Amino acid sequence: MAAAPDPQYEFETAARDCRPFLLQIAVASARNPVDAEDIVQEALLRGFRGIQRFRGDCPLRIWLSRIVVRVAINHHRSAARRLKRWVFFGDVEMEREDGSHHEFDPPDHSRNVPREKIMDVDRQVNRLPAEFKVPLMMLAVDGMTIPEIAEILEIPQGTVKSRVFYARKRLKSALEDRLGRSRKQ
Amino acid sequence: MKVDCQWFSSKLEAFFCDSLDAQELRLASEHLKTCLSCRSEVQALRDMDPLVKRLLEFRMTKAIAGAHAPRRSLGFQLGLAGAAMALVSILVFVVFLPHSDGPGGILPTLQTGIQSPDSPDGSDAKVDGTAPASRAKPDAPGQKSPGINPGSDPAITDNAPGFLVTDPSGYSTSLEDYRGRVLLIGVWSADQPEAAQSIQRLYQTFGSRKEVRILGVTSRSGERPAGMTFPMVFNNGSRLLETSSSNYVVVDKEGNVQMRGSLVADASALTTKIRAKLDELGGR
Repeated sequence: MAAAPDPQYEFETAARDCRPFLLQIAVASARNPVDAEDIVQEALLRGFRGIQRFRGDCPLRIWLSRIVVRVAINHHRSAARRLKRWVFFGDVEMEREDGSHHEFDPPDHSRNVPREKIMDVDRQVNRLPAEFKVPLMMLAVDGMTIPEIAEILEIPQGTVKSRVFYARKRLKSALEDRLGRSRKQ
Repeated sequence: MKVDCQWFSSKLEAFFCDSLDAQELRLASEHLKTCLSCRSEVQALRDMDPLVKRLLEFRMTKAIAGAHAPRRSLGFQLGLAGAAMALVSILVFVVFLPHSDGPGGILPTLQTGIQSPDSPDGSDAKVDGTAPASRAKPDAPGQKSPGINPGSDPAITDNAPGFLVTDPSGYSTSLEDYRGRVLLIGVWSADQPEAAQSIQRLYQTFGSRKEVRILGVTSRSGERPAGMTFPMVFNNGSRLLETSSSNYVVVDKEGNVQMRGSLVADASALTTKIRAKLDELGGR
């Protein structure tokens, strides 16, 4: 007689497999990408505690993604975390090969897009309301489809499309305004 | 059938949301082939996607690097917090420091026309045309305050300024502050009451002249002698225009010494002599 599967082991395996995906969802949903790892960690902890509520009507990664989005949106509202972020605003540093340390400055993987423009897009995207920002960013996640976004956000597919459209429109308008202002200066 | 830009604009959301029916989609596609403006609009909206894709990659880099970057040491964080607390303490100390020597405080009070607590009759040193903010208050609070632990005479060297005095509120003044007025300076000390009485007499006689300023200078900051209402200042380590105790000096409007003499002399003769000099120098 085969032994019953260990639910804890099953969850850990599934969580390990979909962790990169969840990290992308966290980065897409959070205001500050540095918080993404914490968000995924907290979401996995909540998922583990509430696994008995998982009904199996959707893939586990979708169910965990829902928790990640909820945690990410609430994460920024937490006053304690804001304070922590403020106090240790400069606490990230990287280690060189020779063992010395330097301030963290991520490499620019934006290929043909200038870094300044990416930073500008980042600022404007963060200014979008969460209901517009999250679907827009999630659509950029590798392999993410409109039906999947709709499942994670638990809204109709048409609403996802509409929100993505308005997010693009607002972002375009904001970037054009910025460009117009900088030209005037 | 052809459609215009207004029609296309009204259907733009439906176009992006794939909710146009076949007929509308055909009309929209035909319009896009011929209308550069609408085509540009659609392309500009589509161009947002690669930008957002780049942004996600950029954020992923930050997220991964931030998660694996070593944190600064506890010592650094404690040092940062300590420095912040020290800064706050200094600010609190500066802002809430009690000021025991008159109305000065951090923001010097306007002296002209304001009665000092040390001069009940409001007759302390009048300083003309000097902005209060530019007046230095060199003494630490309580060090040279009148009536509080009078100190010893400051050592006066050859390099000392010609004339630099401190008023009861602790603000230093120099001859520059009296430029444009004829200045009568009398030097007195506590062991020579007749000199102080002589200055008081001169103050009562000439103090009402608008272009004359009278100062009674003493080297020690101490109690105001009874009945003395003349503006009292304290020498702040200057040579006092080479004037010694119980003597006076008259300075013209340009700051040049015009007359010297002793305060301990016949009162009427002294008054007559000084009146003539003040009249001559335009001190009316």
